[in-house]
Amino acid sequence: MPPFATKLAHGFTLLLALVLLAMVGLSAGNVVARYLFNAAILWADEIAVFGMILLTWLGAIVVAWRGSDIRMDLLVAALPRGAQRPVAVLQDLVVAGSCGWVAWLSYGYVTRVHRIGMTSDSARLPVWPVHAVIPVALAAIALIALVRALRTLRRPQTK
Amino acid sequence: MILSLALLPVALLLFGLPVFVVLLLSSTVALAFFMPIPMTAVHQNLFGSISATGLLAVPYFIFAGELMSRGTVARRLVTFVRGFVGPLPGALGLTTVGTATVFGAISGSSAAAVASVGKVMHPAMRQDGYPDRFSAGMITSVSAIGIVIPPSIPMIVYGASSETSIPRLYAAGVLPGLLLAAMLALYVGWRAWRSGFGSRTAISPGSIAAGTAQALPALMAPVIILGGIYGGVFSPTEAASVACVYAIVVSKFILRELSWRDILDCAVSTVLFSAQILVIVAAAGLFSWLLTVNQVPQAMVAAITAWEITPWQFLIAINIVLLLWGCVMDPMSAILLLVPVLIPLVDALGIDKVHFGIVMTLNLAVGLFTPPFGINIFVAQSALRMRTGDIYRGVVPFFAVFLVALVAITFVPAISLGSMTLFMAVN
Amino acid sequence: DFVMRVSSPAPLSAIDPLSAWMEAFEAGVEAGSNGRIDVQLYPASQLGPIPATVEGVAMGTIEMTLPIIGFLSRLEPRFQVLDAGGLFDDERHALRTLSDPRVRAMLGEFGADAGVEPLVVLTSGQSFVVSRAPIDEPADLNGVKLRTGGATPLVNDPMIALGASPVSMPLGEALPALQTGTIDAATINASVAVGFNFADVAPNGTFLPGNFTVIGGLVNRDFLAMIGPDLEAVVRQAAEDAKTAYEARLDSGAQTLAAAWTNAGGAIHTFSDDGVAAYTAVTEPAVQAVIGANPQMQADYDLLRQAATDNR
Ligand code: NA
Ligand code: NA
Repeated sequence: MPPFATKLAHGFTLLLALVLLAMVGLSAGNVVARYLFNAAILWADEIAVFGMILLTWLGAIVVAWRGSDIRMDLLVAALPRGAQRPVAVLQDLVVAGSCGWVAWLSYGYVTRVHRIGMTSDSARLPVWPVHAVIPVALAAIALIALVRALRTLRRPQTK
Repeated sequence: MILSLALLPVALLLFGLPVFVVLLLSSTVALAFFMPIPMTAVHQNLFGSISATGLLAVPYFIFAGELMSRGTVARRLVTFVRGFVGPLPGALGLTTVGTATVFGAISGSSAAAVASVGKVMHPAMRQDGYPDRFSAGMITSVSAIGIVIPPSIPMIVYGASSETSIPRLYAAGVLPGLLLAAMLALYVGWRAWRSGFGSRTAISPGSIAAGTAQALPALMAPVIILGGIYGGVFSPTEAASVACVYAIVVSKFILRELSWRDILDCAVSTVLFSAQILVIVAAAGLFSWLLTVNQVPQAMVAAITAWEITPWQFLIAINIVLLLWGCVMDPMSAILLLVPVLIPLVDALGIDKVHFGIVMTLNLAVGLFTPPFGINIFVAQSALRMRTGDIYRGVVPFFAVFLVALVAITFVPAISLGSMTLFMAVN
Repeated sequence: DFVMRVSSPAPLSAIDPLSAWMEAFEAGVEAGSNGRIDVQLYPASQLGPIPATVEGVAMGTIEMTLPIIGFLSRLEPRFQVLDAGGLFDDERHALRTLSDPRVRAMLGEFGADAGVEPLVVLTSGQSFVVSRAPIDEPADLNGVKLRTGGATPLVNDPMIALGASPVSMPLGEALPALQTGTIDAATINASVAVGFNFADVAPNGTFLPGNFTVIGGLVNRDFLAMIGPDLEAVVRQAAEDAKTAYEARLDSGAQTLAAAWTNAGGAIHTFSDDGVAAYTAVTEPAVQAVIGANPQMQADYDLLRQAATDNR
């Protein structure tokens, strides 16, 4: 992968790491506020959960980028060398197809959430941006898989 | 529909696709071609199933584990426990079982235990000559004790859907959890003794005192967390965030061994790791929702009732169903789907609901590490950087130990009910 | 021909009026439509947590859900007005008021932008506070960490006015949190408190005067349009007729629950007349302050209040 893309992925992950630190601070801060000052932050859990949804889906893009998704590699690893390449291409194409499909479905859902103007229960924030991370992440994962499939195909047979 | 909800996932899994894609594609195909339900169900469940406060414990406990295993905190804890079990065969293995049990009393989430115990104990055991598969199998399975020992997220869900008192369930889980830990410890010690791996160290009052002193910051972690939960300062979910803050304070300011840069690095690994796990939780939520709206659990129970069976036959049948279920689904969905349909039967057969809850929890604990789908396996694969095949083979003997414990706890209700009486009285 | 999936967070039981409504509704729709609509009841949150089912109805994934009213304000802020305490004297009064043609016309407008509407609005018991220490009078709420039934000001501001400290917490965590003392008290539906044996850890139960749990039966408007005018009329009629079964269980349901609570080792505390007056004197201004800040809410509230007076 080109160096600028690696840098971009790294910076993106650092940003998500800061989100995690903020979530920890908010949850622990809520304990302090309630226990010491008898004044719980009523929206703390809701915002922390939004943070977790962000981490999950945007983090999944980086996971896909690094190719470190959790999968059962038992059978494919046992295949002969020559079969590995077509299998890898087919895997990437299936991932691209299914994530692309669901990203499209999900996009339709998010536009409807936006149109209805749905808000969160406690903080009363619009929720469509949180929903939108799912189609964004799935589209990015589909794109990464597609690029990977093309690169594998173009790579010379002998390595 | 059977095709897309039963055969397709297995085929896609064997084909080596990412697990979340397996569940996502099978569910979407089922919805698009076999069910009169709008496709909006896909996004709604992907979003809804991880939109839960209780799940916050997963990234938080993983983060706390990262922080403790990056510095020397966890190593100090290991040295301390070894100080006591050092002369026994399989000392480090026993330490792992002991640490997982203590962790179980802190956390209601098993995945977090695999990650944090695994990151510390796996390298330590490897260095000490334990076979990789054996120690990976041990870490993957013993962490499942965590949902049998209170606090336990599955027990909360069971209590809620069966109208059973959660404090009673918690009390009833203590002895079965300890029994399980004792049996696993016996097995680990025996294996190490027979195969002669792992070192033994002598103990002396001096080394125990030194070990205790240097482990003090680490030992305070469970004290603070358990003290905080049982002393009413914070809830089990919040405890996970307090554990993170404590780990940062200890490693940054008391031991001064982590820089801010290191802490940020820990946060980065946590993000990637949580993302790997939580996308699977999200997709599994969609998959189990589809099973529910197709009334699959109801059909399973109807098949069992058709035989007109006695209570012990029922328990055997349920154990088999749940063990099979545990191979493919996560405990939470099993409880949500099965409990409402099973409880009338349990009542009709005169089985105690608390006892049944413990049997069910134990079954699902086993399901956490049985192939092919087991969240602990996936967590271990990522945390220990091992192949699924090796972990699959590693968990087999531990599965046998859990099975013996399951039979004992199922057919000797006195274990769970005695535990309930004992610990409710203590309260 | 059609499937109507109905989700509810509460388990079905033989004593609870809301369960009676759901079962009568199922029977009524299936009989009235000659089996053309198959109603499937999913109690105990089998179709997912409450927020997900509310979203599911808005998106047409499921056809109906029956959450407490606070969860509907994510789709339509006007639902919040039903959280105002002090409107109803008892559940029969609430039933009459909520069935008043003026109120039904107003509720019929709720959720139009989101493509949903409340097919039925009912109460599900008087607000019940379970606590570790007894709450015999309003002053006992002072300094209490209280898990409330929502995060909206109409729910929380009156409690703050009484000196309580509201805490937001999922239902599943409320019981362990009460046991360990993380919170001192929790507002919980009485049937939930009995069902989950809350008396084990928080044996004191207090009914809050003039406060009722309000449940909205949310349906998707597209679904009603899709089944056609005849079947839509069947569904609406069944929802109305099912109120008879609901009403038949109102008294016995509340009594059975109170008895079950006492049998499980719980105690029930009631405010004296002076206590009720003191409670109203403190909470009423807090309610009015929240309502007065929003003209739409004020208008909706005035209509509800008028209907409540007329149906007294
Ligand atoms: Na536990
Ligand atoms: Na499994």
